[in-house]
Amino acid sequence: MAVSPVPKRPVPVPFTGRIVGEPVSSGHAVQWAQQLSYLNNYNVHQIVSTGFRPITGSYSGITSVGTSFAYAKSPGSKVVLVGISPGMNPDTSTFTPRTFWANAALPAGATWIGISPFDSSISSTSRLISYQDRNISRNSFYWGLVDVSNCSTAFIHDFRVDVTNSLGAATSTAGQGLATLSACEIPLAAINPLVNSQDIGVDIDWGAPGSPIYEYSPTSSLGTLGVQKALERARGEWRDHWQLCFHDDDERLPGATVAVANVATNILYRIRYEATPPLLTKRVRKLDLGDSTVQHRFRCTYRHAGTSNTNSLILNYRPLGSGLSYSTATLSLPYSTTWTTAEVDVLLPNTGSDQEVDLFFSFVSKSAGTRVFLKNIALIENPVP
Amino acid sequence: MTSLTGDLINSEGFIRIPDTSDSQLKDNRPFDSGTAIIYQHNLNWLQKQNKRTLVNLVGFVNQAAVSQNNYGFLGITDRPTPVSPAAESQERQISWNRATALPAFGPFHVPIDHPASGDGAPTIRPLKFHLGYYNAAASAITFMIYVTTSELSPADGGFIGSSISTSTTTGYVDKEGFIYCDAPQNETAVWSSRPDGGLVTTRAVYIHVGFQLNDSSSDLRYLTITET
Repeated sequence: MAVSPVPKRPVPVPFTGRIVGEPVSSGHAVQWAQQLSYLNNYNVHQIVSTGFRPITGSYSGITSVGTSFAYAKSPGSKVVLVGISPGMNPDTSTFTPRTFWANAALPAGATWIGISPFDSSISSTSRLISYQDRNISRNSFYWGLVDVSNCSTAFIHDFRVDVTNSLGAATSTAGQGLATLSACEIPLAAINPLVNSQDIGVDIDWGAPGSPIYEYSPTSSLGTLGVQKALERARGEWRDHWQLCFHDDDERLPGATVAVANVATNILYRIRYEATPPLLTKRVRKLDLGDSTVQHRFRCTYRHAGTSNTNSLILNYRPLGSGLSYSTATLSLPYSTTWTTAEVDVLLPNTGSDQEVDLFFSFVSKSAGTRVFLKNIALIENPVP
Repeated sequence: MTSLTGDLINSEGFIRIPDTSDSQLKDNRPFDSGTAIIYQHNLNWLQKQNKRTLVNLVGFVNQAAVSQNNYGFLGITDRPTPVSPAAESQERQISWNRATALPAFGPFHVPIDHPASGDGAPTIRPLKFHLGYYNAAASAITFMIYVTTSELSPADGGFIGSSISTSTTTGYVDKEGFIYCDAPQNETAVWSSRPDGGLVTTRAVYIHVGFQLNDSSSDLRYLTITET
């Protein structure tokens, strides 16, 4: 059977001419099927695409830095494409080539596909990655493919990437680390022809002329119930990821040290000018009728230094352009000197300009002198019920 | 040209229809236009709402001023240095090395569902950006965002959309705007997407961010780019 391709662009279907109570032609069913396929397969799940503040210090004894990003898997057989571009060659004077290993720690159930430059099970010497040379203008990128089909959809996973200098502890680390990190989720069927697509869709033949469009089977992808279920999945399984990643061993930078107990301190100490919070923004979807919006999971991977005490990370947000006072969502950060993840649910408003909120983060501790270090801050849509 | 995402019943949201056995969706019952319109509205609404965060970062790049590194061409061995970088077209004024640019972001697989202005072909969704930087001195500072169809810089591979932000204001600068792109012509991946094996042909774009700082204390503060 010849298989028709998914259209390369959606076809607008006007309401004109449709009268409530009148029957619907099979041509409409074809359009639904086509548009569903288009909708679901061009919305590739973008997980992260971020840049890193360059490490500017020269820290003897530190050979490794790392970061992590959060990942909420969508149902079905999927692949995550992970990519990095390396930091700058630390040897600024002699331009001696420098190399590193980038080891990615995968979520439970995930496996590498083929040979990945980030796979620590492969001989380290075979996958040394060169830092970017300052004399080369074209940037280098490295990619790995991860089969995440067996990963749970019940919770948010951590992907960790650690960068280790190959020359050991005696080397300066200025300039090392990552420059960019990106990840997106695609169907496993995209790269494996032996895997049938498990993506939502409706067989196009269902709407063929002569086929009654009221016909359906709960177990097949045909019929109006198929469209109905496919719509619900399209609505609920597509989850926006908004996140910021940081080098985890960047602590010699000015830190978010609480000067005064119980007074909020701007958390984004990793940007140079912290007196004015950056105008971070996020687009907030609106799916159901009424004022409700998509619930987000506010998530942070962190560790502390200083006095042990009760600490909180506060998300301050308001509709973009509203001029309203900021609302807050508080994420409790139990004191921990090892990397830990905390998360809480928050409802963001969608009434701002272009459905955006502007936001910033602050840190509060009951003890002056407490510091917090961050690997990742994420706002990820929860599944829509 | 009307939106490619089609008509909407309202501007409020997705309309839920129970899919349980006691709903109006019964086997061998006719399916009427009213329900069809709701289906179509829901499809169009999802198409309108499913827009992604593409780039999101804070931090600074803190590279040398253009006067110190000749627009990033100083020492570059893999491309010729213009006689006068400032006289070149905007995308050719910098070397696109790490002193003048961030590595490319992407690839982003993009839908073609935005009507072109005039009679042109439909194209990708516009991108909305929020860009913040700090200008340490009252000298010109320039940030460039280019949308390309490859990892090559816009100077090497051309571009399909751009936004150039220049300011001489001292202090914090917040910019927001839209980037309208031509339709990318490259087809980069094909994957099976329907139970019957229907294939999707995707097109990918990359986002390049370059800068010219006339004071080495000036810097990038944040950048967010979303589909809109």
